[in-house]
Amino acid sequence: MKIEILGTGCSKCNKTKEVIEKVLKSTGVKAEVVKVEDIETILKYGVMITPAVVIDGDVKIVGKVPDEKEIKKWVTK
Amino acid sequence: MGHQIRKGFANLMCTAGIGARASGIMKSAEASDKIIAIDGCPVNCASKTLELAGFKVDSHIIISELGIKKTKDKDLKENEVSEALDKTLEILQFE
Repeated sequence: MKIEILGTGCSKCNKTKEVIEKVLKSTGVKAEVVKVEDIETILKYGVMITPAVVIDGDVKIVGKVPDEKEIKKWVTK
Repeated sequence: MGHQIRKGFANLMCTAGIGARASGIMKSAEASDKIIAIDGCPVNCASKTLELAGFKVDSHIIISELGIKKTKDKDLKENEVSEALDKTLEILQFE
């Protein structure tokens, strides 16, 4: 599983990475977590507002920090 | 609604992406405070596409009503484009 965190380095983007890593640790799910800061790559996903989370190419959330419950649902599906 | 509109007002997004249910565009639209549909003519494909996808259109602009006629002419006149943009921004400022 590949999890991409899209954002240009804002505090919400860093928070998103932290929460995702916490959930991965607690669930034991293995995933590659990548931070994408390049605006052109972000726009290729059609994402206009950051932070955003992309899991295996599918955009899951835009514009806010996801909560742990949501992340758990995405990674354990 | 991808590119920053000239004059720094809002983000421009592709309504075909809404029709295609492209996840990034759908989620960006969901995260928007306000949705402005810009249609070229009264067939209103942009606003209908948004509504069919479950979005509420807050403001609706129809460009052919702002001086750019729907014709087969592909050469847009710069003054007409700029006039339509000014009128659009004026409408949005009062909403």
